[in-house]
Amino acid sequence: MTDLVSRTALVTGASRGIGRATARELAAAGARVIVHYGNAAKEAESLVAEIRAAGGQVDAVGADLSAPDGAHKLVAEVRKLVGDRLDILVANAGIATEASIEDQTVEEFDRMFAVNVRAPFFLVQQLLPLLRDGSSVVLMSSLAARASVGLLPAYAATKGAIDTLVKHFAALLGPRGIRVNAVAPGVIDTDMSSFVRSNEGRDYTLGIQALQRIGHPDDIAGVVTFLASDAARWVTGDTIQAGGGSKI
Amino acid sequence: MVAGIPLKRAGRPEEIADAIVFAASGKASFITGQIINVNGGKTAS
Repeated sequence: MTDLVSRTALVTGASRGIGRATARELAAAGARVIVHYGNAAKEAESLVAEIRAAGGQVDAVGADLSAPDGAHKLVAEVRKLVGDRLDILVANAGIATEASIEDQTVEEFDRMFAVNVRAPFFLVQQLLPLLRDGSSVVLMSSLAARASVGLLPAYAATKGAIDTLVKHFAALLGPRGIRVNAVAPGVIDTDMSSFVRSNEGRDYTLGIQALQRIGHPDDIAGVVTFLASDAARWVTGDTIQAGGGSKI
Repeated sequence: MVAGIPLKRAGRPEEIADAIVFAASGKASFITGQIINVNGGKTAS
């Protein structure tokens, strides 16, 4: 059992999917968790109630991470709750819209880069005064960053940017004892990848994958929890592929 | 020797062991066919 007692964690995009499963697992390991949500206040509150019922420590904070000052506002709210120390950042919040090259709009392109790249960058920047020796930052990459799956060129580019940031952040923050890694999920059964709930989507997914089953948010939450914990204290600057052996 | 390692120290056997235990555990339920770098960030810098 991973021990995160006395650690504080912020998980963005925690109302649903991978973020929700991650917040639940971090709390079960003993961490005090701040659950961030964008719009889904009701789902976030239900997660808070669920974690508290299980004896966990948790609060929810809403913030629009597509706004230029979204990360700054979120960190200001987090500081009110946790004070001057945060041990774990899981920058999970992300958006994806499928579009061909021809159909991609500038507005949606910019919105994906704002939420998926700008927000994590400035979350790290704004949280630097709170992150101590031994802190762990986990960013969310994607299988799409290294393979042409789906019709997602713009989204995939945002995740390629995450893989790049991981290396640079790890090198720059290593001397402070802060580790930075990413998890690259394959196709996971979440609202973002709801195509997998169709027969066609399922067949496609299993056709590129070794384990021959659809991934579940808990499959990713376990990896994030490992990276957040001291068990991963010699792991930094890495993107861990958790895709059930997709596109290997 | 540690100059090229972002965490600025040498690793310890226990730190590799912990990563092996993770790879062998249920937490790695969706990881297969991968190499996990456990080197203080040396491959990233």
